Amino acid sequence: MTLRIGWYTTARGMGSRKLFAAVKTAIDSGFLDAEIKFVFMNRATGESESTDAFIRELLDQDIPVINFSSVQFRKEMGVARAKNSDELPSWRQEYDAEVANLVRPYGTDIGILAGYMLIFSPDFVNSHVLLNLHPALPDGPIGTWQKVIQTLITERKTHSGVMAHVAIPEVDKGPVATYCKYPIRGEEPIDLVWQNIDKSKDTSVLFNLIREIGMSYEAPFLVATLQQFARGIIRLESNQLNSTESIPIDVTKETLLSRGNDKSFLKT
Amino acid sequence: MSSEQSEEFSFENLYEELQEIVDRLEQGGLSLSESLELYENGINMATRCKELLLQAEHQIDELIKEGS
Repeated sequence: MTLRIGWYTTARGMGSRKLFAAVKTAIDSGFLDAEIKFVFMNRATGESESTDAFIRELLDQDIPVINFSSVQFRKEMGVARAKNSDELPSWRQEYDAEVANLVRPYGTDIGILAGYMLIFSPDFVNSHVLLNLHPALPDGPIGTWQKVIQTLITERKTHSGVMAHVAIPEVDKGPVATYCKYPIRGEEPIDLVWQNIDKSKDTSVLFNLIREIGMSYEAPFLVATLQQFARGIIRLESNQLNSTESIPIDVTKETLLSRGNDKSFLKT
Repeated sequence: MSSEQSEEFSFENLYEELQEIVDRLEQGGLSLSESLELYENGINMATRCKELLLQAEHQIDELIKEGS
C-alpha cells in the first residue's frame, strides 16, 4: 500500500530541500511506493526568500503546500519570543493544535521532520507519527551535531552513522526505526587527516570532513528508511514500531545502493 | 523600501530570528544537513546584524560630529 507522507519543514536552505528532493525523486522514479500528501511550513509567503523559492518549486510539482506562520501567530497572540527553556510556551500548544487541524484532512501514515524549526508540543508528538534523523548510531554520541562529531574525534571512533527515530516529547530519545553505519577511518584521504591531528592538534579539517561524509549519507538513508515503511517491513500500529525483523533495522546496504559511490564531500 | 520591508529587515527582527536559530541548534534533534543549514543561516543573520549595528554607529558618529 502506498505510504502517505506528511512533510514538515521551515525550508531555510538547501540542506532540507535536498532531503525532500531525494525522496521525491525516489517516488517519481517508482523506487519508493509513497505519496507526499502535503508539505507543511511554519512560514507564510513573503517571510523568507528560501521558503518562497521552495513553495514555488512545490506548486510547480502540484504538491499541496500548507503555510501557517508561527511568527505571525505568536505576534497575533501578543506574546514575546520566549528565551530558550525546557518548557514550551503556552502559545506553542495552541499553534500546534491549529497545525493538527490543518493537516488532519490529508490523512497521512507518517510525518517527516526535515529542517522544521520548531520543537512540536507533546500533544502533537503523541498524536502524530513523526520521523526524525539524528547524526549518530543508536549506541553513538547524543546531543547536538557539534558534540556528536567532537565525541567521534575525541574517542577516535572508526565508524559513525545516522539513525531515524520516532519523535517523542524528549528530543532525540524516541524509538529508533533504522540506522546506517559508515566508516570515518580506514580509508584515504581521511586517514591522512586523522594523522595530521596527531601532529597539529587542529581538528577543524577532520571535523568538517566527518560532517560532509555524514551529510552525504542522510538523503539516501531517508529514502532507504521510508522504503522499509512502504514495503511493510516496519509497520506503525498505535504509534508503535513493529516488524518481523529486529528493530532498529540496519539499512546500510540499501543506503549505499541509493548513495552510490558519492565522493563529492572530498571536494570540500 | 516599504515600511513592511523595513520591519522585516529591522535589527530587532533579525536578532530575534538569530536567537531562534541559536536556541534551535542548542536544542538538538537535527540531522547534519538541517544543522548546517541553520548554522549557515545564523552566520548570515549575525553578519547582517553586525552591518546594521555598524551603520547605526556610523550615524551616531555623524550626529556627534555635527553637534560638536
